Amino acid sequence: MSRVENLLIEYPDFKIDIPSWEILDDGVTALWGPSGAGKTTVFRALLGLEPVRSLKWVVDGSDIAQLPTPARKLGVVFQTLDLFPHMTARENIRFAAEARGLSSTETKSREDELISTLRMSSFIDRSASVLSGGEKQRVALARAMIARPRVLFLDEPFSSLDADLKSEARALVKSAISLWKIPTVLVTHDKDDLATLATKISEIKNGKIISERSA
Amino acid sequence: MERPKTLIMRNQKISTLIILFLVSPYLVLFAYFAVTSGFRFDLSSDFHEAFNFTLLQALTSSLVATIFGIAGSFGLIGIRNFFPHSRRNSIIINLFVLLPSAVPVLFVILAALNLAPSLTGFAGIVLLHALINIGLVAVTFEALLIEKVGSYLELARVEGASVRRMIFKIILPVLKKEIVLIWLSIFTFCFTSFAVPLIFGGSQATTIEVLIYELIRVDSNWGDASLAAGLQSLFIFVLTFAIVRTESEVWIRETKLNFLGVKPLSILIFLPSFVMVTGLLVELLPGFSELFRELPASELLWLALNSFIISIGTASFCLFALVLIALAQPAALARKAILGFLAPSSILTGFALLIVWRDVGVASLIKICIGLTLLFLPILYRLGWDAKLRQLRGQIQTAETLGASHWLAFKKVAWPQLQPTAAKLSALAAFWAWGDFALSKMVAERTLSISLMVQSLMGAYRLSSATALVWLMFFGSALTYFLVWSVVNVASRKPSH
Repeated sequence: MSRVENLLIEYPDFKIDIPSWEILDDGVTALWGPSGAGKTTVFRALLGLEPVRSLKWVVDGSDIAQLPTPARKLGVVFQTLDLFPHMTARENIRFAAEARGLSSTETKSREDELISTLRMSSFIDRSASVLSGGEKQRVALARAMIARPRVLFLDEPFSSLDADLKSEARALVKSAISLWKIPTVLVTHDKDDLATLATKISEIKNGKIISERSA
Repeated sequence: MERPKTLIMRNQKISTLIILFLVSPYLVLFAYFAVTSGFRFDLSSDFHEAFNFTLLQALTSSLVATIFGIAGSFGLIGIRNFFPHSRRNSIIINLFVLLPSAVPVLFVILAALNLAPSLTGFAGIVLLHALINIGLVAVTFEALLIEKVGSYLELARVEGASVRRMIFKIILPVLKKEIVLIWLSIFTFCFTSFAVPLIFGGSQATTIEVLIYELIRVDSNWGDASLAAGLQSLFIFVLTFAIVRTESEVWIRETKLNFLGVKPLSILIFLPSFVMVTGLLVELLPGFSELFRELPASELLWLALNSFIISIGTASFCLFALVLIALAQPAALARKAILGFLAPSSILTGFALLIVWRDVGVASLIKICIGLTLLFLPILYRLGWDAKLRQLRGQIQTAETLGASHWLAFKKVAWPQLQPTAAKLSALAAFWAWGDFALSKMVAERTLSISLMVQSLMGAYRLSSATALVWLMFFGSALTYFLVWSVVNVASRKPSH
């Protein structure tokens, strides 16, 4: 279990105030709440993209909130997916592996495993700019997972998909993260995401976590 | 909703007229060139020399400005992190960085002459062009980093990528087209620059623009001038097609690129503004006493009045053209044509105006206003008019779906929302018009405005007087800016009940 403490951010018209919050080591911790509740701000703060001086985040005994973003060794899938459009799907995944300094053999074996788990073989060498929404989503997930991050962050990862694709995508994500055993933080406002993926649900409203329960 | 055919045709006609107006200098020059020379290319050695020199200085200047500007954009990000994030701070920093690009070029020239009078020739021209453009490149590139690759860079940072990897794997590959476009825009500016080569070039460093000016105003050799202008037009016209502007994608995710900031590089973007302000302050006090000794108050007043008339006239023409464009709601093709259009240089526009209308006196003032409108309109359109029109398209369609006539939709829906932008853009035209001397020098038969007098004083090496006059010009242009802005903003506002 990793513990987030003193997540306090003040804006002129809004405040995030989370004195303490636990993220599961195993399974998916979902941060659930309506639009404007502060989910994305919390997400960005934990990634180190929003400076929060007071923040403490203890993982395996060390406070990773004191580390710069790259050194936190996290993985992320943003709502916008953000595939690098000038690269192929494979190059996108390899980018993350190279950035984390994985050896080429390690990269190859993990890449093969992800391609098979996320069923990407039919489009893996296609340019990212021509992939469909569902394909992009799988590549973004593989890119985030290949370096086996300490914690995987998913920000409304299914919001850009059609209803039909959503359930398939959820099942794929679920199998991938349980197979790789990566602790995951899922930010969502969609109750179906919670039903399929969440192990623990933390409800956020007006910048505060108002309830926590097991899914 | 399908629009009535008559309305579509009327809008197409207005759009075509606007585009014809914009390309008219090219058409006039090509026609004149065809009639006078029959497309015979008897190029003099002067032209060859001028062309080679123009190309060399434009290539060097644009490369220096682009490289330093891009490096400076990382300094700009660093400096923004230094101050609390707020819209006001961001505007102040942008204004300071953009100062040398936003003010009339005379300001930068005079400041440089005050600080380094011996700076002439190739080095002087390159340095001045770089000083003028570095800030503009930095601000543009910073915006591209945020808008086009910001989300990729944030993600790459989470994944552990180094800044070096981000530059070579993401920024350069994704933005290569935009970098080429930035460079090409600066290259075109330097290629068609007139004031800087005229004053800093000296006799050994003549550019095509200066050559055309001298052929007409010094030698009265309209034949050779038309040949040079024809080739210059052709060159710029081809570049116009090369510069196809891409519309930036809108990202729904807000990004922060603090980690890319390199504060020491901010010197690259602040130095040009600092040089300009210092250069204009050093001669300020002796300048005023010298100026009032040399120029009678009545002449000063007459020059200021003419500058004011040119400024107000240009602002009015620009406002009229912008409203026409808004009324026409140009279709995709016409929009692209205006967005991608590169106005001819001041000298070419002046030459075209001289060909069609040789009258002097009041006609000179009207010609200057028309010429400046031709030069400013494409810039104003890109500076916010097109974006605003695109924003309103859906609302206008909704209004028309609800049964409003085209005119009612414009009057009640579009114009109230366009008015603040129209006020800002026409005021900007008024501000810039005060500083023009290249077009005025070509069109006017004598020194009839403050900017022409500044240039004339600089030519006589009376730099202190010129500096004082430049400050008067600055106050005059600022005053006219606020006057036009207030009038356009207030004029059609509904009285409150």
